[in-house]
Amino acid sequence: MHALARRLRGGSHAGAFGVAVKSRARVTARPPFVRGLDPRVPPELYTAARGASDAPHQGLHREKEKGMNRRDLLRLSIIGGGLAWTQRRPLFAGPLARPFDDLPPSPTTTPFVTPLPAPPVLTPVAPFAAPDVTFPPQAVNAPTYYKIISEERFVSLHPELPPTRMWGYRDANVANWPYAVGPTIVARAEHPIVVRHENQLPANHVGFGVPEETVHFHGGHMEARSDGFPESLPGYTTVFGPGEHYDYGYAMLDPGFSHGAPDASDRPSTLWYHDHLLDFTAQNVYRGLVGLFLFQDELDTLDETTGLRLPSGEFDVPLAFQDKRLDDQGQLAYDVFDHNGFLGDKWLVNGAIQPYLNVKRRKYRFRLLNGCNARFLGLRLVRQGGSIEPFDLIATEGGLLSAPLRNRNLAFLSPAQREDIVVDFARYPAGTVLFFENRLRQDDGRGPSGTFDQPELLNRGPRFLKIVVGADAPDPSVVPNVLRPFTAITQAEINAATRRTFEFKRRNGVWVINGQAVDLTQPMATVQENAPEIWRLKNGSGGWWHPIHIHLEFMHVLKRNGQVPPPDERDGIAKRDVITLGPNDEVEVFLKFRDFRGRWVMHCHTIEHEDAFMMMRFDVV
Amino acid sequence: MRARTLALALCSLLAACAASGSDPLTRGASATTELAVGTTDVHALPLQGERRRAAEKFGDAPLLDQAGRERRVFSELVRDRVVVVSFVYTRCQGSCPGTTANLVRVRDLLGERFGRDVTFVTFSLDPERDTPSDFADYAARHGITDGWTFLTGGKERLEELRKDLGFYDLDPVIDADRTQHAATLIVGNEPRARWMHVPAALPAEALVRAIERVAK
Repeated sequence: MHALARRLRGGSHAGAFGVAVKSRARVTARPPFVRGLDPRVPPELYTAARGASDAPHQGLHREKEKGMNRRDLLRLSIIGGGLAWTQRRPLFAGPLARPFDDLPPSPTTTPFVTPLPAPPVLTPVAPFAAPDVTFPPQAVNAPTYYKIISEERFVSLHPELPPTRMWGYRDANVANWPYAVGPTIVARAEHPIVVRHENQLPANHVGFGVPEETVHFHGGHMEARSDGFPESLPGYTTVFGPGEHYDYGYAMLDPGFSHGAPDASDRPSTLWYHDHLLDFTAQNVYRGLVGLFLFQDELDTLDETTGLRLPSGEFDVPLAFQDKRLDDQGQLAYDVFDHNGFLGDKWLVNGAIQPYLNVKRRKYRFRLLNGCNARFLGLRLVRQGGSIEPFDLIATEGGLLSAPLRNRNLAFLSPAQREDIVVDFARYPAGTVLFFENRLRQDDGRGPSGTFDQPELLNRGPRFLKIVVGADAPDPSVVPNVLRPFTAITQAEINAATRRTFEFKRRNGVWVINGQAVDLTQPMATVQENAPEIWRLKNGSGGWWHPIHIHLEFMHVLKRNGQVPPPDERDGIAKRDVITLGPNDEVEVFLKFRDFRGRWVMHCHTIEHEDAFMMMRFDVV
Repeated sequence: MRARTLALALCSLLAACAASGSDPLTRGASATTELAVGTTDVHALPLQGERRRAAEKFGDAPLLDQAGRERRVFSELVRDRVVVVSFVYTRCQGSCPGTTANLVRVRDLLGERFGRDVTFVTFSLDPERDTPSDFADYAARHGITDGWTFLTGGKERLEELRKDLGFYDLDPVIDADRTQHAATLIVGNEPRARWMHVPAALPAEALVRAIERVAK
């Protein structure tokens, strides 16, 4: 209650919002939105009501939360969010809420009948010879060895559907892996690991996806040959086919270690690993070659009685959000001729369609991953009845924040982005039902409607996960006011930095960086190891969005469109490994490529754009 | 629908078996093609799953080749083949001449594999003006003989193909501007249901590598 009072007193935004909400809380009969219209579809189809729907879909007749910019949205009080809700159903379920490719809509399924899967943690194997892996001399701890098998398997995505043929990673110690997501790797700071990936994908596969692999440790800081370079080059083999294996070595050392300056504040939190095969990453990732990777150290101990005492164990839940499309046999559908960016109409968390999770009345850490190919997410935690509920943001791709950003109500996640949040379910009586809902409107692979500052958020959206609050439970966990502090880049370093500009653009049906389609045989940029760099990432492609991922190092965001970036990406508070470029955005990031020389890539992580050549190689020398 | 449902349940197995013994790059493109004689409906073809989806995209409604012959696109020119698909128009002053010239280099690099293991299909972006004889001249001008089919015909059919195959822009203004048309190629391995697209301006060597990757 005092939180409410504080916000009403202190915030002109809360007041303004309250008024705005009242005047806008009605369903307006707006004409169909023009931007998403497909020239192939006769206009009358757009007003046809959608058929049976298993979940609220994005529709054109929903109100949007207008008149606020991104910062306002983040500042909204919970009461404001509550007022924003209207119980009224839209007049129509939405004209053709599915995207405009040639795939029919997925079969309907009953939501929230299957429990949230928890893909188990990868278990070690006996040490084996891995002659290709090189660990630096600073890696003094003995490595732990793991084996992962990639295979074709049939997975139940929903109890009402036949098993779905997928590709996926499996712990070699486990014979049967009934999950659509691979094992979760947990690695400890300064404890190197070796992961052998064995390719057992079907050599004679028919369908989308290519049974060759190169595994990218997304967000990792490791030797170049273990990064998952997308293409084998003469004398540099990184791709392995059916029947072959590849050993990956992750030193898990602090960036800067080779220069006598290991930076323990530059440690990650939630990472993932996925296939990165040139031209076919979208197809292979969509087939299921995805797994999570969690980081552990003396602060983030994964034990809520030690270190920072963040919620841990069964109260630390990774949530991989994905969208997929299924045919009438429950098999994955994908339009290989569409390169705009795949959008699904089935909402999966950890590989299950619309699962549920029973929670205790206490704090939980959720590690949110946007594992979609091209769908951006604007996730809200919504209480049944409509109020938007708050959470604390504690980490982004670049690890724990300096300090938590409290009372947030929107997790905006571009493809491949992660955010760790803490939700306190002790606020709710037993029996309370909540949902993770995607409120962001997106009609095609161009990206969401609106801008980065002002994304178009609807007042309903598809529900990925249902959460049911249960009994009380002891809660020794805390969200401390200080997490993993780090200092912002100094002016001296900024002055010393080499500046480069990369423009991301569409030209004649191809996505290019500085005018060039991907060519991994030569670097577009050659950077000095351990030297400061400022990269200006510029979106020159009209209405398209591009989430830009740079390998090897986290980015310190200095400026967004010439302004101080919002707190969740601002240097000194957060680091990122994927930067969202909304239409015409320009973002300045600071980078220092330390410790590992070799070939790396930067690319758009809307994976269809990446495969359509929006990727460049840079070499660290 | 029910029959299709049942058949689909077997599709992955059958398709995998069908493909297992046949490497498209070592097999003549003229190999067993079960034409659905007398029909232009790809639904009559005994294909399932993702192969069917591609068959529906190309369709079999006939177009005219540079010799003026009617060709059923999917059954005659795509099925059981490794194909490189492009869209040009003969009056194009923009990217098309470069695309075609680059494909000629690819053809030369492919050597004897061209025409046997890999074929090229080029569709008209300007079917209202491109006639078969325009394409015959165009082919002669670029030194193109066998193994490369240029197709023109009904505007609606070609527009539909262009969009179904992904050669369009979501922005209707850009899409309507022929000078900004997609300068890409599709490289496909029909029996594998493996399709990708590549920028037409890639170095010919890189295009050959892409073709080899898809043809595997």
